[in-house]
Amino acid sequence: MTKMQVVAKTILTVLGIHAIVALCGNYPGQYLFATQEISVLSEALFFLAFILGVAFVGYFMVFGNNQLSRKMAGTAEQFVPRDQTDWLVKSLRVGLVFAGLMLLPRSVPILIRTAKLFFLIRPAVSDIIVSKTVPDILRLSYAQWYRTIYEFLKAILAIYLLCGAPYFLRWQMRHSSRTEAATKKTEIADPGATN
Amino acid sequence: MNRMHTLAKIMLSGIGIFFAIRLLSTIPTLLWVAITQPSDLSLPLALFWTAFLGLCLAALLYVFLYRREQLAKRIVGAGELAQPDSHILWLPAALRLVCIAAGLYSLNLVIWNTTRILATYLMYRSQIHGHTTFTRRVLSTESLLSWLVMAALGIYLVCGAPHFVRWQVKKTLKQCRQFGAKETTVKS
Repeated sequence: MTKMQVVAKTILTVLGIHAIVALCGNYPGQYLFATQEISVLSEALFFLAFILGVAFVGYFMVFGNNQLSRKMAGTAEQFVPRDQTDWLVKSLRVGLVFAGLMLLPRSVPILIRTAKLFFLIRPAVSDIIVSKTVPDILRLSYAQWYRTIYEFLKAILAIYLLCGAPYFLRWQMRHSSRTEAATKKTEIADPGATN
Repeated sequence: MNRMHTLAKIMLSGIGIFFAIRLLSTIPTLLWVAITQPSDLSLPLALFWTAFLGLCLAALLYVFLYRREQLAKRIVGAGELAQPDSHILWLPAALRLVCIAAGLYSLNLVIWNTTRILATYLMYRSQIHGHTTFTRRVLSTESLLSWLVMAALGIYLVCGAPHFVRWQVKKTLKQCRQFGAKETTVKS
């Protein structure tokens, strides 16, 4: 892996995270199903197609971006293996922290609302049990529920990214070294195959 | 001047241009509202806000395009520095740059929220019981708290978030050592 490939990989990862968050935030179903009568099956199929689209973006930009980064940056000076590990860990971590920091400011309101929920949850539960009525804080429309869950997951993602996404980073390192080894084997077997 | 300074200068220019575009995009909206809905926003007020945003834009461009040399030196550190390839040095500088960019984004959101609250106040002011409705709907404890947290976060990040950067550097170097040790074990 070259320096430019590491940079390209980091940029692809950050852009991929941004694309996933933006796509999920603009899920058209949240407005579509709130205003139109559509069967549960079509709703489920629509949601499945959307999830597949997001997974496709996630796979090519975040999880399986080695091939793409190699194509973007080309082949140039190779790292000493130790340097490669250092560069990859550091640049990926900087990129992930950047993504987390960009998500954090917009997640502040939902974090405050979640903290507020701790004070409201007891009276809400007692309302449901004693008077068998759904409290106002739980009476949300389809779009509002979607938005709340989305914002909450986004806040969790922001915090995870700010912590440096340790599990994701470990997985990336393992995956990158495996791909690297496979590429080297191919290069040795057929020197012109990767160009 | 080394490669890290150049990188910092490029990133600062990028940040400046990004926020300039965001600021510029609000000016036509203000004028459009003033022309089409004069009851919501009067033309003199829209002109005042346009002038204010123009001043902000000028200050932003001055700092991020003309004074970027000094700013880059402050971020990376003055004097003769080693090349970024000497591993540890580039990491805190890159993290600080990232923090500054995120801080500016946070402050941008704070300014955006403030102008939105002001615009809503102007809208409610002319209504009967408008002041009470405004206080109840817009100035809730929750939104004020969010505003304060975002402003504090923005200021801390713009200052370079020293504690956060130190913690991140420590954790990253630890992780690098772990991966390095693992590789050595696998090879032997």
